[in-house]
Amino acid sequence: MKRRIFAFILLLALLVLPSLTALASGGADAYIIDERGKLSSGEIEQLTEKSRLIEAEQGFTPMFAIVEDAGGDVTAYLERLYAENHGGENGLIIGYSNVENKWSAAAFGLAKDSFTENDIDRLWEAYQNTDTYIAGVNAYLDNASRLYAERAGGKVPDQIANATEVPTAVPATAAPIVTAEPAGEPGAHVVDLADLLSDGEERSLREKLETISAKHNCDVVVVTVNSTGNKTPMEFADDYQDYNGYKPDGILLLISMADRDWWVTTKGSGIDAVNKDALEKIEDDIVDDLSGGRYANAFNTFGNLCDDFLTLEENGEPYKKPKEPLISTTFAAIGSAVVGLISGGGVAGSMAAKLKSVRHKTNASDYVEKGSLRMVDQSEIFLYTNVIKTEIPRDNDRSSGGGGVHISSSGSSHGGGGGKF
Amino acid sequence: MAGLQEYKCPCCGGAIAFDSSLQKMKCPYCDTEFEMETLQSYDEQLNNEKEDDLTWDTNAGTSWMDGETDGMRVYVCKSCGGEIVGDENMAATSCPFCDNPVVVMGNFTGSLKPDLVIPFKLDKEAAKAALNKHVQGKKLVPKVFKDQKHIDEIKGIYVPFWLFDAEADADIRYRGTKVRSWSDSRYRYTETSYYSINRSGSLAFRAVPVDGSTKMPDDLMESIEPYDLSQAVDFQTAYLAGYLADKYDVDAEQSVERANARVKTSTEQVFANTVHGYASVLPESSSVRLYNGKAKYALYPVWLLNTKWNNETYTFAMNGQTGKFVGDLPVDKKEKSKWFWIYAAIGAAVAFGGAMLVNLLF
Repeated sequence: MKRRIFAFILLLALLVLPSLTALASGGADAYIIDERGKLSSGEIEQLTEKSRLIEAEQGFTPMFAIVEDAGGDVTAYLERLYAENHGGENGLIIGYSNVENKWSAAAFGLAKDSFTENDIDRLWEAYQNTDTYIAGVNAYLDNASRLYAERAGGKVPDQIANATEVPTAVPATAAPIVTAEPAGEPGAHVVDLADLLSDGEERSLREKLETISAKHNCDVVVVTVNSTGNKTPMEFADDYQDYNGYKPDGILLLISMADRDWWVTTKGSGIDAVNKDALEKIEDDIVDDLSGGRYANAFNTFGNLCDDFLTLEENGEPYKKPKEPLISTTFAAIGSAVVGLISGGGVAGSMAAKLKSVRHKTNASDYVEKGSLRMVDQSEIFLYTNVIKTEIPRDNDRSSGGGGVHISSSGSSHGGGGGKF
Repeated sequence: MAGLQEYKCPCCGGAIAFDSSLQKMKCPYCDTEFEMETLQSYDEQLNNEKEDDLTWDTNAGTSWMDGETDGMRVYVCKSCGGEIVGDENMAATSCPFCDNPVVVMGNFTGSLKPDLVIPFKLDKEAAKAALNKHVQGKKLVPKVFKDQKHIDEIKGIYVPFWLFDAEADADIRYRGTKVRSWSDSRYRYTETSYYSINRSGSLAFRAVPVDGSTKMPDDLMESIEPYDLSQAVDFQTAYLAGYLADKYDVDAEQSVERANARVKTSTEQVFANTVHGYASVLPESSSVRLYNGKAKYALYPVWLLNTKWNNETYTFAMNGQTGKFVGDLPVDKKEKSKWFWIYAAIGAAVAFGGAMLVNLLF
C-alpha cells in the first residue's frame, strides 16, 4: 500500500515538474527566455543583469526569447510572454521560434512609437551577425539600448556605451516585421531547421563544411527548412545567403521539405566553381539520396563536390563534365556482334544463293507483245480524306535550371540552380 | 419511277445515306462524307466488274502424214519409263532422265505432229564450256565437284512445249492513298486522301511456253527461257537427226493452267505500272479475261547434263538456242560456315571500329 502511494506521488511529481521548470525559466520578471536551452544559466544571469541595468537607467525593458514552439503565431506568443513578465511597461521583445521558423518582434508603450520597422530589423541583424547565442543576445541588448537613446533620448548606460560596437548590416529596404524569414544561427555552415540530421551527423557535417569553407575561403553551407513561405526556393536561398553573415563567396544548398525542392545558390567565386556542368553533377549525385531520405549522405556528397569544384576553379580549370561516349561500349559490342552475324549471314547466304539458278517463272513478261497495251479506262476518283492530328512532344521535362547568373533582391549576383527530389 | 438506289460506303462498307444538312452523302457508321458524284462513279466502277475468264483454244498440233513417222523410233527406259523419240539410226546409250543405260526401242506410234521446231544452234562442246563457266568463281562449290571433269553424259533433247497466244482484257481496281503532312506549333497533321483507281484495257501475249513433258522439271525448263520464236521453222523430221526428242505426256488443256497463272500475273504487273503518284496502291479487285487464246505445239532445243556427286544427281540444262545455262550446284557446308565467320568477323570489326570512331569524333 505504501508503495502505491509512493508511486502515485512520484507520478504527480513527474507531471508537475515540467510546469515548475517552465515557471522557473519563464517566470515573472524574466528578461531572457530560453526555451531551447541554448544559453547556460550563467549566461542568462549575465544577460538578465544587463537588461535590468538598461531598464533601470533608461526606463525601457528589452526582452529576448528563444522559443521552441510558438503555437503558430510568433508575434502573439511574444506579446503574451512580454505581458506575463513586464505587463504595461515600456519595452521591446524580439524572438525567434524554431517550429515556425520565424522571428518576430513586439513593442510596447513609448518604445512602440520610438522604434521603426527598420530599427527592429537592425536589432535582429545585430543578433544574427554573431557566432554564438550569448554574443547575439548581447549585441541585441547593446544595440537596443543605443537605438532607444537615439530615438527617445536619455543616456546609454556606461557599461554599454563603453562596449565595442557590434557592426550591423542595415538592409536597404525594411522588411515587415511579421513576415520575417526563418533563420538559424548567423554564419552557420549547417542550418538544419527541418531537422533532417541527427546531432552526430550535424556535428560531423558542420566540421567538414567549416574545413572546406576555410580552405577555399568560400562558405559552403547546407540549409534545410520546412517551407520557403511565399518565396521561391531561388529567392529564399539567395536571400539566406545574402542576409546571414556569410562571406561574399559561397555555395549554399537549400532543401525545402514542403515541396521537396532543392536549390544551390552561388555567389562570388562560387558562381565560377559551380558552373552548369558542376550543377548537373551535383544534381546527378545528390538527388537520389535526397529522394531516399539519406540526407546526411547527400550533404556530405555535396560538401565533397564543392571541395572538388572549388579546388578545380582555384587551379584555373573549372569542372567540366567528362565527355560521355555517344555509344556505350556494351552497346557497341552487342551491336557489332549483331551486325557481324547479319553481314556474315548475308554474305554466306548470297554466296549460297548464287549456286541456285533453277526457279519457276511466275510471270510471262518475256512474251508480252510490244505496243499491245491499250488502256480504255484510266479513271481515278477521289473518295474521301482523313486527317490525323498528333501533338508535338515538347522538351520541357528538365528539372533544374541553372548556369546563368541572376540578381537577388539585395542586388547581389547569384548563380546556381535546382529542382525537385 | 426510279428504283431505290443504295450505295455502300467506300471507307467501311456500310450502307450510306444522304445528309440533307450537309447536302452530301454521309456514312452513318464511320462519319466519312462524300460528294454524290463520287459515289455514283464509284458505284459504276463496281458494277462494271467482271469475272476472270481464262479460256484458250487448245487445238494445237496436227496429225502426222502417212509415212512421215517411218524413220522414227521410240525408246523406252525400263528404269523410269521415260519415252524418247529418235531416228532409227541413233544408238541411244542411256536414258537422259535417269541415266539408266537400259533403253528399249519400239516403233513410233500416235501422238501429234509438232507445229514448230527451233533447231539446235549450239553444240556439245558449247555445253561443256558453259558448265565450266557455270562453276567458275563460285566459292561455295566443293572443290572436288569443280575438279571433277567427268560429266556422265551430255544429251541434246528436243523438249515438247505448248505455246499459248492470248489477248488479255483486264479490269483492275486499286485503292490508292496520297499523304500530305504539315504542322503548326502544337500539332502535326497527316492528311490521307483515298482514291479509287480504275484501269481497263488489253494486253497481247505471244507464245507463252509450257513444258509438255512430265520428265522435264517445269522449273528447270522455265529457268532457261526465253526462246526466240522468230527463228522457229515448220517441223520436219529431219531436224531430229542426231538428237533425242521427248514426247509430250501432258496435253494442252492440262498445261493451260500454268500459262494462265503467268499471263494473269504479267497483266496485273503491267497494269499496276501504269498507276503513278500515290503513296500506297493496293489492288481491290482484278478481273482478267483471255480472248483468242490459241495454242501451238513446238519442240525447243535443250542440252541436258547429268552428274552424280555424293550419291545425288545434279542436272544442268542449257538453252540450245541462246546458251543460257542453269542448274543448282552443291553447297560445301564447311566452306559456307568458313565464309560466314570470316564476314561476321569483318562486319563486327567494322561496326565496332565505326562506333569507336563516332565516339572519338563526337
